[in-house]
Amino acid sequence: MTPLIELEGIGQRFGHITALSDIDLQLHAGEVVALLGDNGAGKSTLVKILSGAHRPTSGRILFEGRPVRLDTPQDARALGIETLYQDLALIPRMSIARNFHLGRELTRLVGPVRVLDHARMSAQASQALADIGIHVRNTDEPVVSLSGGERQSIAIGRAVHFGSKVLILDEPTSALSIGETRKVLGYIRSARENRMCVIFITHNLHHVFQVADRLVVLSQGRKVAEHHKDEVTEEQVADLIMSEHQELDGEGRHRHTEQSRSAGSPNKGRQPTG
Amino acid sequence: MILGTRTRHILAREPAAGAGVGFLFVFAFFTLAAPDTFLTHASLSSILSSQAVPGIAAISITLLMISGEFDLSVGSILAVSSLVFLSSTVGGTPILLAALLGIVTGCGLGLINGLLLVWTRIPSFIVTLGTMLVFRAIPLTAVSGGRIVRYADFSREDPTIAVPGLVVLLGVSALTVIVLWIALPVLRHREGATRVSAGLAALASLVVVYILLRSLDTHGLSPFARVEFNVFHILNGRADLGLPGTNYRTSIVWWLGLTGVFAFILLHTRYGNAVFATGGNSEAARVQGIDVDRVRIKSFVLSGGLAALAGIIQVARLKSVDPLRGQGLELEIIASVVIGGTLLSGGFGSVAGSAIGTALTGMLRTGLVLISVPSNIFRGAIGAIMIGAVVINTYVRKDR
Ligand SMILES: Nc1ncnc2c1ncn2[C@@H]1O[C@H](COP(=O)(O)OP(=O)(O)OP(=O)(O)O)[C@@H](O)[C@H]1O
Ligand SMILES: [Mg+2]
Repeated sequence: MTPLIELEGIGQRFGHITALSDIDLQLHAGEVVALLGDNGAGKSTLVKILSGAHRPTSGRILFEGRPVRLDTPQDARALGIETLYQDLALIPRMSIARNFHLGRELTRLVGPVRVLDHARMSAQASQALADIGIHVRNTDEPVVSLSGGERQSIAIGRAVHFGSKVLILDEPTSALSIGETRKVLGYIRSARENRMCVIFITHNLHHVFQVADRLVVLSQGRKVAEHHKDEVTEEQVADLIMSEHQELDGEGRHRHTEQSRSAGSPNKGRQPTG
Repeated sequence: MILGTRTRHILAREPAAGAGVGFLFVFAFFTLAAPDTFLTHASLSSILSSQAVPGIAAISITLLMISGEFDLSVGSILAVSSLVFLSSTVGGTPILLAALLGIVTGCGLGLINGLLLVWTRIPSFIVTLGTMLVFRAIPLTAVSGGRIVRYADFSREDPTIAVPGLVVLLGVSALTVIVLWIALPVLRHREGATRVSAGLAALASLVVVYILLRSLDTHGLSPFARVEFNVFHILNGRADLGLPGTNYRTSIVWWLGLTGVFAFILLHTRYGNAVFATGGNSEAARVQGIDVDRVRIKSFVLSGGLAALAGIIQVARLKSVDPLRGQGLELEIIASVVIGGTLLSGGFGSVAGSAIGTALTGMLRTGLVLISVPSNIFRGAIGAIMIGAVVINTYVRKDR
């Protein structure tokens, strides 16, 4: 079976900082892949490449077996790739409904001009959010007036609603209550049942073992482990994430400039928290 | 100062609310302080007529400020476009073509600002500070010796265009149909209103046609006769309202009309939505599929066009261009826009607020003269009011 997405030798540099190097990865429809790694390992950078937010400096991407260019977020969206960004990508002073439809606003013709269909956008946003168990008081409220968890829920709801083939969730539960977290794990399972590919980034290994089929560990911009869930235990994975960091700490320096490492070194000893 | 949460909520949501309240305060103050002179047609008309041109330029600044950018070069763009308009008219170019040239010039200079911003990634404050000086050099060098270009040196008669009455009729009624067709359902905010409003719009245009035909008839004209229009009068002429000693000008209609059009564009089109998103959080807007650079360039082009239009409307009244035209305008307009509730940091604001802010500025200028305060105080007062407005808006919105 051809993988849904194949990454070949993906590398990303920001100036003289190497965020990712030589990543090979295959992702299939109907599977949940957990992307793990310490802070600054390159997880967000990797998924931003898949969502068209960053252009990789090397390597290529195949989608359904064909090489594709994901030069802009629009390209990724057109392929059915939808992303929850770690920073949520919401516009604070815009209403929930406008945020929900940002970049794909619903319009109607009024006379000769195309205008925003506010009524339909509000209705569709609250319906779509309600469908996945998120109830908002009023979709005309600005996002800035919501709590952190509520904002995260809105952003997740948007990604879940629009994603058709690939759903990327970058730390989706970081601000959520236990109940909301369960719901999110629930969406991930139902997305898998709908034959979607889900890429799930989290620091919570417990969640990983609840929903993921495979796990991929990044460290300092490299893929250092890839396992089926049944092949490893939670402790082993924790050790993989941690020990890689410690072992590589000596020799891994040369991959980054001294500057970038010293900037990144406070990460050392910081534990992936649950 | 404690406000009810509900009031505070409304004030926080509607950018123009604070400016509206401030406007009423200043208005009440001058009405009480100068009861005989302030609340008269003479002073109101002079306030509105003098603020029409800055008011149009304020729309352009507002658009950019909402998109998160800054434009210090409006005054210079206004000067260059005015010069292009007037000197090509004086040089024999048909008046409408000259106006078009002026507007294209404004759009072109705006495009330069936009491209510089997107290509260099230098903050727009710096880019437009640079182009403010560069663009200003154009009229200064083109007009030798800093001379003033006057229309009167070229012709005693104002420029006119002659159009068959029937065309005017059709044009006006088509415009009525389109404006009402769009405006009615948007005002009602409802789905099925479109067809009803199309009907109402058609009806209204029939009424307009009827009135126009009647007025042609009373002047003894046939619909096929050519009607002459004084272009300067249409742009910025004295409106004859039968009120002697007043100076209501047609530019006020342009100001309010353009404010309406741009309020509509900002609130009800995809482009407008993209402007708010880009100014609110450009990285979020980008990853959600908005081409933020295109939005920026488009906004600068539109803004340049508006500055040019403001310049052309000003020329229609002053009938001259001097190379220093519009200098110092930008800061006063930025103050008006900020008083109007638009956030300097982008993502929030309204052109209606800017119109109120501009009117408030004008009211202050005239009012201070009426209560015999030295005119030099004016700028200081504007500054104080601007700081006050920002403090109040910040308090209401609970953000730092
Ligand atoms: N736009 C950028 N410019 C420069 N460096 C960047 C940029 N984005 C990421 N980096 C660097 O790339 C490295 C990987 O960052 P990334 O955000 O992918 O980490 P992460 O694995 O998602 O970490 P976390 O768990 O903290 O979210 C970091 O060292 C970061 O400083
Ligand atoms: Mg991250």
